[in-house]
Amino acid sequence: MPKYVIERNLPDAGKLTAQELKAISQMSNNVLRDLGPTINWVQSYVTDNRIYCVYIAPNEEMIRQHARLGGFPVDKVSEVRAIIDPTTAE
Amino acid sequence: MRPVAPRERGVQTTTELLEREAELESLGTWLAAVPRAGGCVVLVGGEAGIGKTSLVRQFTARCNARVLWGACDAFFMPHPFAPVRDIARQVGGPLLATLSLNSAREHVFAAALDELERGVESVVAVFEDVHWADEATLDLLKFLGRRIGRSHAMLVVTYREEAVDGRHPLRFVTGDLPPDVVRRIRLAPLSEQAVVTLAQGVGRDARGLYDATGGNPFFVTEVLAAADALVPASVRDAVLTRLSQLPARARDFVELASVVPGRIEPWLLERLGGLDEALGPECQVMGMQRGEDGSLAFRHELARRAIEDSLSAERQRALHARVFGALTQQSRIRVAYARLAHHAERAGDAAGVLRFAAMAGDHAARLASHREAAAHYRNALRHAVEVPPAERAGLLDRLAYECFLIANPAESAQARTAALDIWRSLGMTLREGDELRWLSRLNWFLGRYTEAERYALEAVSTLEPLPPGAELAMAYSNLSQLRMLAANGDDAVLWGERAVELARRLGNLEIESHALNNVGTARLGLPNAAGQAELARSLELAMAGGWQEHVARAYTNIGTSAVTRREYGVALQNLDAGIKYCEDHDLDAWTLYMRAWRGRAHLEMGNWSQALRDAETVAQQPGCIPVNRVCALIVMARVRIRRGEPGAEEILAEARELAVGTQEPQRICPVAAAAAELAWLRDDHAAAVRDAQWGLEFTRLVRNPWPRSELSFWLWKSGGEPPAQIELTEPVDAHLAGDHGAAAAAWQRVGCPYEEALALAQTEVEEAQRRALQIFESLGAQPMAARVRQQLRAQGVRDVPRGARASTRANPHGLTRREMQILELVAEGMRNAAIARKLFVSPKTVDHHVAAILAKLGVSTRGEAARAAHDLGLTAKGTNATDAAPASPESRGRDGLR
Repeated sequence: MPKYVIERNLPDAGKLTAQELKAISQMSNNVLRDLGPTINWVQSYVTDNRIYCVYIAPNEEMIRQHARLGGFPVDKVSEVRAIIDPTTAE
Repeated sequence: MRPVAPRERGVQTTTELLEREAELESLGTWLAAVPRAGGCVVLVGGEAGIGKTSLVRQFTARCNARVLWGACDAFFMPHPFAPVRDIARQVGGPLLATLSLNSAREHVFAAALDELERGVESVVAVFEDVHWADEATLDLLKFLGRRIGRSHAMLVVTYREEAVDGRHPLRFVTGDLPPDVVRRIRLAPLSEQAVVTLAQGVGRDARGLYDATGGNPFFVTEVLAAADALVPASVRDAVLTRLSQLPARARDFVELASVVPGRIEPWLLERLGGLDEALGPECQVMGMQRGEDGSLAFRHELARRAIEDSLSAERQRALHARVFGALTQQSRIRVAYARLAHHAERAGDAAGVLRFAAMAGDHAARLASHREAAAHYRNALRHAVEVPPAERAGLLDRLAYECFLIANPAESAQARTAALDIWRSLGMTLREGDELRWLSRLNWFLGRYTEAERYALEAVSTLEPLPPGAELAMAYSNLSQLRMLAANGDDAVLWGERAVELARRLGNLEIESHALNNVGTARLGLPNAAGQAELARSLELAMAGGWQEHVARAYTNIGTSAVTRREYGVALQNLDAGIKYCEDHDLDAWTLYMRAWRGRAHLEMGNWSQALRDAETVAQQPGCIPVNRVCALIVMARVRIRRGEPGAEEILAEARELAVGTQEPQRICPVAAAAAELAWLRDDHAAAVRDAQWGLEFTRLVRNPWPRSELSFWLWKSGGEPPAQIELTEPVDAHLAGDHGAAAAAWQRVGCPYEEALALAQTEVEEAQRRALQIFESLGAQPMAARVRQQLRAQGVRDVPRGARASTRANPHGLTRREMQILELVAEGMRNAAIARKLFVSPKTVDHHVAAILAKLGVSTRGEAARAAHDLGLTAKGTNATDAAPASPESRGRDGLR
């Protein structure tokens, strides 16, 4: 199943409080539960004005559907073609 | 803002108990009724200092329910959803998530409603100081108000009456709430006895106290809390006297605190270097208090303002600059843009205002608070004097777009013209071309069709030399749209397909959606369902992409085309859905246009009251754009013509003038048909023929056979010769072939009872003519009913039904037409005074009618009468006060709050 990196623009994302981050995560989990087992949220990286999310999903449409249902911004969805780390050099 | 300071408690508690028992009891009763009767909205109004907060606080402290508390801020421009954020911080969960994510307002609305409906326990949600509320919050109140009856929540809304005049947006909200869920409390000043009691309670002389304070509880409290016995002339004096008695350092701090509306958070206190002072007794003396979270705030806005306003302009600027600095020179905490813009404005920091007002505008725009976004951009532009031209033009564009969305094309065009000059001077042709395209569209809205055409062509010629991009695609699509509106279907398809092709090449779904709409609409004239696919795809793309305007346009064109083809089922389905979508998304321009067309659909289907409701709502809008107005006026005129009511000529004359200005067949043909019908009813066949022929000229390019069918029908009925060998429609073909029975059957299949009756009346068959009479009477079509009666008698028919007022016979309770009319308005929640104004009769007359109505219906309250009206089918689903916009601005404004 493809892996995706999603960019979500959110001004001042870096200033979200712990309470807000918790609420957002709960929201995301709830929507994912409704969407079924094929879509999985791996991890998200919250930076100053953007959140980068890694998802495993059958297609891009499901990612956008999750965003629509949960009210998440979606600015770019990119399919991950390869994952490399220092051991790939061997 | 929680527990009160010890000094205050004594006086505070006594004030709360005094003369507020009745209100507390009401609140308690209403809350107790919620589990059984459903939720309600309590509007608590009163002058500043009257004790609204104290009352509600007292109530919530004792009540047996979950309490949520939010307050609106006194910023120069409010922060979106401010009170909702307060509540979100209390409850966390989805509501907090949607606000943190800047989700579209639908998500916030849904989460807020969920919060109120959650669990089994009753909920009391308080929204304080709603006279300061932002647009999104007001729309939320409207949204919740319409649904709260089904929940177990009590929404308590406090507001300052003197701050809410006839045009304040809050009036439109409260006027829009379903009357049966609204409760009102108006707090009155304390009586002289109460004031005396209070004074005696703290061992003070009560002389002159009532006169000086007018019984205003806050004022009384302030005076009694002061050390000396002199009664100050005003609250302001009381507060300032106390301030002057503080040591210098404390005084400086209090003055600094006074420029911060609402709470001062602990982290801000620290940055301002005031933590020590905040803990000191001086703050309490000045009427400030610490909240549960350690924040500091003035207990009352009046005190804060008294102090802030007493400062010199220079000192105010300096203090605001200090606060602004403290807010901006940190990067850990998110601060609302509106708040930053507020302090920047007061500090005279133009760059600060520019920066944060622009961001506030962007934020409001994202939340679909378009009016507010426009106000923020205007503010930013005021401070953008020394800004690079390109930045200024960018702001102008954003302002223009928001103005467009709130149906203010004039200001939008103004902004775009200014931006156009800038782009030209900078030689930025791409932006220039895009601006020209926008100006074409705006000029169309303003009714300036020559200019619209000129700009459209100029846009294309400006952009074509450049490498093809989105701007060119939109310029093609815009031209396609103009052609489509002028019923030049072939050109519309030509330009539209060029736009679609380019959009697809660019992978631009939004423009593809826009262009498909034009192509589809242009193709719809053909009977083989060509064009449906394009329109469906356009709507699909628009929904998926969240391009609200394109969704609105898709619903509009699908709906209105269906009306012109007399496919009423499809028409109503799309217009109802479209109107709802646009109301949910604040897209006023589209709502009005679709309402006008829905009015026309109802007219043709024989639902004349409903038709008028829609049409009159549109026509009464201030600044209604010409195309909306034409459509609405034609509906209003035709109902009058068919009912035999006066005033049709004037309305039709105005409609004709507007329609001629547009030169568009879809405006001119209906006017011509209405004029021909009126002339025919007056037996002025020559005029009828003239009008019908005039209209027929414009049908040459129109593929849809219905406009020319209708005109040919009136032409033929008036003794004229319809053009030969043109394709008409089934009922009219039957008429021309002389088979009126078949025509009647065909009209019935289409769903047009008035035309069906006209056809039946023309047969030689008595049975059919009786049926025609029955239909005319049930519609209230007096002129035709009288004509058919005469016809029957002339044929020697006996026992022709008498001309009793049709509506009286039609309804079982024997209500006259006037009484039915008034009953409808009562069912909409209108008060007698407003009904009297609307119908141009005296209030006493309305009172008598209402009494008669209640008696005839056998009910005793207006609410029961409204229910009876619904049962009678007078108020169809979706058209009572719950869902529809109020019938007129006047009835909204003056009676919204009392």
